[in-house]
Amino acid sequence: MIRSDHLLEIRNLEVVFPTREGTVQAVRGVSFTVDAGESLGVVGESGSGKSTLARAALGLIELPGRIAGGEILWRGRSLLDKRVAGRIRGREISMVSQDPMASMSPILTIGTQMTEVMTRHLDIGRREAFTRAGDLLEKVGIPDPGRRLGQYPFEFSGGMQQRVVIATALSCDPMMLIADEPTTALDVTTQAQILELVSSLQRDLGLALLLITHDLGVVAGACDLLKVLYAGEIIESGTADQLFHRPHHPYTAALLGSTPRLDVKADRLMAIEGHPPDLRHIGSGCSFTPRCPHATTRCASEAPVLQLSEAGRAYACWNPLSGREVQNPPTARGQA
Amino acid sequence: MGRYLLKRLSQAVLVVISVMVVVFVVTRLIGDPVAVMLPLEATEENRALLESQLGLDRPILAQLGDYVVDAVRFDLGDSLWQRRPAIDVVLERLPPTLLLVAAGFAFGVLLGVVIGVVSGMRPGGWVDRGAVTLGLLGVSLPQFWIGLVFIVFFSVGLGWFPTSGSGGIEHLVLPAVVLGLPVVGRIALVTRSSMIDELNAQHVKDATARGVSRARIVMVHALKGAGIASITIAGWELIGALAGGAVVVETVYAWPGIGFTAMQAIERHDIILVQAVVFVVAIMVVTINIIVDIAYTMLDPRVKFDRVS
Repeated sequence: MIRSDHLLEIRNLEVVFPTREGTVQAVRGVSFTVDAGESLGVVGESGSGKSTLARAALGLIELPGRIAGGEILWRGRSLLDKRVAGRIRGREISMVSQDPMASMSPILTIGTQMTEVMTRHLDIGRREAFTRAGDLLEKVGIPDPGRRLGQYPFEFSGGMQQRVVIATALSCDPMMLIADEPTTALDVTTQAQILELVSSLQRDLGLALLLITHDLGVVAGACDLLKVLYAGEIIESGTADQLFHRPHHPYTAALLGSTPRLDVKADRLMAIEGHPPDLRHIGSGCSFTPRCPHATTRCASEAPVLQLSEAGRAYACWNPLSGREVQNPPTARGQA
Repeated sequence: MGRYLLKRLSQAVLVVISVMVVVFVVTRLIGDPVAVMLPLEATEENRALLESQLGLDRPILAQLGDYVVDAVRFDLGDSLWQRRPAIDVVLERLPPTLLLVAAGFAFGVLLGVVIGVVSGMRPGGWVDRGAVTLGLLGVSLPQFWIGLVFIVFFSVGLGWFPTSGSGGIEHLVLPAVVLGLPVVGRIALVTRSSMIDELNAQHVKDATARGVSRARIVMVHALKGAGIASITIAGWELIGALAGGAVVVETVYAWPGIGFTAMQAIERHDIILVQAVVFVVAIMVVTINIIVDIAYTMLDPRVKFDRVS
């Protein structure tokens, strides 16, 4: 046991993937904590290491990937220990992933796949597990659960299937839910419904939520705290309110500018110029330098470290934007 | 389901008739049964007499027509060699073949699936490399050669099993294993690659994240998916063992089944008996095919009769 007062504590996590063309540094020294009942959003574009982070928080890094350094602590126990992680997955921490249609086996019934987790982790029999599964389906808004339990995933729509996945994730009364792009594969109206469901369940059950997404509109309504991930590092963190209204890091500001909006008239979408850096060859400076409109010579040679600014905020930048008010920050999906 | 079955059965009848026509023509092209049946000093008159007795002097289309009409009533003619209904000879020799094929196939599928699952769980590991090598050997070594090597080694050398013939279980072991070896090889290779695919599928990764145990993922999630992929191959293997492997293995081990009978019939130019063997085997082959398709729909909920037909 290592002393930790948090539910989940990640300390200086480094995850690497050796490839033929060099070692990919997917996660580079990330630290954060999640407390009971707290909702944390991790935002980043594809390749920023956010999904790797989600899987690492479950103690799951697939070969050839490996954890090169740092700690992942769940209530003081290390999830780097496979046996500990195996007992906790599905029981205390559960996960909802991106594509609901690919998330369950196409050849086993929903009922089988919902109950197999319960009979393993809870001290209940198959019959009781089926009753419980039916109740859970009802809770996530699926009518006629008795009949639905005997059906296969392909008999559900994407949104309904994601509700099934969420119900399964909640089946053992976990303390934390990790949702990795839970709405990306769904159409916009369904996205709003699923997000609302996740948020209301999180509030009602007092769950901790780790929501991982590339879409600021998704975290806007669902999360209290945000971390912005770029090239495997957290470059800015703070409350949703702080980051949306007064971003310090130019990347956060650029992300805000590139979020498509229905309520603001714009002739064209502001794309972020350039590409994320090659994670096999990380230079010594700030990894956002090539794309940053405010970059100086110092940025290219010396990497800024994440430093606390005002209450609860931190950013890693040599030339932070000074409290510039963002016009019309993103609003929560479905409420815009 | 009823309509689907009816459609498949009528297709099956067509297939059997086509096979019979081809065999009928081919057996009449490869040699002259009369020349084999008569002694060397037989005269032209003797030949003509026997030919007309057997009906071989009539136009081939007329022979074929009669043959098909009779075959529908399960009258396949009298064996030239044994001078009694050919269908009786075949049905008499069928049980030993069914026993041999069942034993060889069961051995092949069970061992093949076990090897496939174990090697698919850790591709590239030493178990996997050994299994792939064994699988390739099983697939590529000719059965008549393995059969002879096994006789030399296990029967003559070690004296564990009889060299040939039928009788107790000890007679069954070597021919069944030799018949099953290519089945082991192919089933292992196919099961291995579908296990690798299944275990890398997103739903398996997500099941792990959901907290499903590794044992259950391998034995239920992955194996059921891999089993669906393997069942077609298993059907082909059963057909191969029945229609091909049995002939070779029964001949090597003098196992009194239809394969051995077919070889004897060919040597004696007993075209009627050859046709009868092919007829019975063809019926079994199309039956197996239909059973495989039905098994498919029962295992895979995504395949339904109404969508196929």
